[in-house]
Amino acid sequence: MISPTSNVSEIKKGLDNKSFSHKELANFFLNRIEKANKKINCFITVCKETALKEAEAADCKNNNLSSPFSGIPYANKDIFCTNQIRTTCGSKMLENFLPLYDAEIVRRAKDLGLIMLGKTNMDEFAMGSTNETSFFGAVKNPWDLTRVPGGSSGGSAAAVAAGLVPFATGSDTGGSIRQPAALCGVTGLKPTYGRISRFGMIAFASSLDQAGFLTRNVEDCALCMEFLSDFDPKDSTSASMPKGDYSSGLHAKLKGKRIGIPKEYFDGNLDSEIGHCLAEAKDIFSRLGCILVDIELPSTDMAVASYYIIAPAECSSNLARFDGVRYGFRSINSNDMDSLYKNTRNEGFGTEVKRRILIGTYALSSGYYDKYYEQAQKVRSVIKNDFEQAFKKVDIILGPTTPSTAFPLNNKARSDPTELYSSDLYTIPANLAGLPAISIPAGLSKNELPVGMQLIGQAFNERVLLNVAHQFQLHSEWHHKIPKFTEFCDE
Amino acid sequence: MTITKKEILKLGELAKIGISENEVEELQNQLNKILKFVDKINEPSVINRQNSIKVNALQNSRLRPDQITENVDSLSISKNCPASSDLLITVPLVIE
Repeated sequence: MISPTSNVSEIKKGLDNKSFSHKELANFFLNRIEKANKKINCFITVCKETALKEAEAADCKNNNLSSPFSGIPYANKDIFCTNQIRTTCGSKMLENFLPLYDAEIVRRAKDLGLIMLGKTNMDEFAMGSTNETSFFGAVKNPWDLTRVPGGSSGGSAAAVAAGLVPFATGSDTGGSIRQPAALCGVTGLKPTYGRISRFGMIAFASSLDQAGFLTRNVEDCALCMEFLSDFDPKDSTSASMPKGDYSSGLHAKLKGKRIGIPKEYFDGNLDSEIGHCLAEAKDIFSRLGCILVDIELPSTDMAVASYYIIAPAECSSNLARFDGVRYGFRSINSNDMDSLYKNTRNEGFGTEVKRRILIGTYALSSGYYDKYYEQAQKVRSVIKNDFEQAFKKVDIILGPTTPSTAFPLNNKARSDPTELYSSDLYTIPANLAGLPAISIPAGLSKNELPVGMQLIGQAFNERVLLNVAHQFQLHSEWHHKIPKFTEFCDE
Repeated sequence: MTITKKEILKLGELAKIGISENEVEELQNQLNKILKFVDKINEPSVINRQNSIKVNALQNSRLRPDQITENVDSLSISKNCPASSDLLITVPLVIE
């Protein structure tokens, strides 16, 4: 019997026992996607034909692959290039773009026998925290269809939450995996900067971008890390660090582990219901023998401002490649090269992307570079230093993922572009410092909306981070909660 | 610090994004809101804090050997162009 909420190991067991075939498994999830997508719009492209073909081939092969992922269905955020499969990055600019190669993470997934069911919806070029900036329309949160799923990996988070795939890839520049994971009640891991290849992941802000995973639980995150992360010579920022055996580290006892509680993460900005859920989580860790240590991250209030200079500055440079010449959208209203560039970029990019390119251009332009870009980089060093000081005293830092639970969809009512910037308050610091961080479900609000808890680890020490997160899940039930919407897909 | 209408048009030129006259005012309003938001990093208290620590450059990225590893064929590349002729990318006239 296939369950929409099974994790990777459970599904693999079913395949190995021949409780169901690869084709039955793929069909089960594809049928759910077909029903759900009309309501929550979490997929931009569904790869029914190729997925079924691959599943049939896996059935014929009798699946003797040793990979724990062989035959497991999954989805990719539409930021990852997939050879000859449309890759849009949520933008009109790439509405019909067919890449000529696979992103490294996609290539690895193929080699492991994973079956891609489709490409998930996202904020345009990963710029947004609601999924409302997607050219393909907003994604809806399966817990409440009138609310945002978060972003920019909102399609991946909603798909996992609704039981449409066992896991999905995401990317995180300022919280784009952790924030939607929190708002949709799933587990979301952003590994250390450089841990997973960015080759073939369409660039937004290259010093911050990191690929990661949205899963049912921490165990699946550990599996993904073990098999899909590694050094890649094709990505010049890929870290040449040995990857760990994350799964075996999950079961270590937490007695004596020091968990830092930053006072800046529990101030007036935090919703009281989230504060209450995190107080219960702290109690669980205390009972497990952890030592809770009060710490300070004094520059937290500067992180968002610094991020909203660095990320747009890098995006203004990265997105210069979309000019209508070599690939992607080209405006038909052009008589010369200058108007081709300008009209293509004006018509091809959405409002938020254009705003960020312009503000980034401003921050890098002569006369303003020192005041904005260089100063933001200095603040980034200060934030990094805050974490270095904190990690002299603790093993892990605990805080909220988001200041509030999922908020209502309604981008037209948001006239001030900075209104949503502060919703990334707790996630941005880990990106600026390049640290691994995970969001795991830690409660439900009174109106049945998920609450996320964020754990931040030391660079390249995902082993401890995943261990602490897994032990919490062994002693809590929140990651098993599923939205009523999943029943709609069962019918 | 505020951005003027003239600067908005200059930014459009630099970023090669066409901005029409009727968009300028709205963009000016929005970009000034963003600038006000990010100006926080220039507060004296932040500058004092940053002066108290050593500001390190971020980790340098590594260069790979200058060798051809894999190549996509020209025909596939040209097929991806919005306008092409045989193996050539077609663009509007550049030089009269």
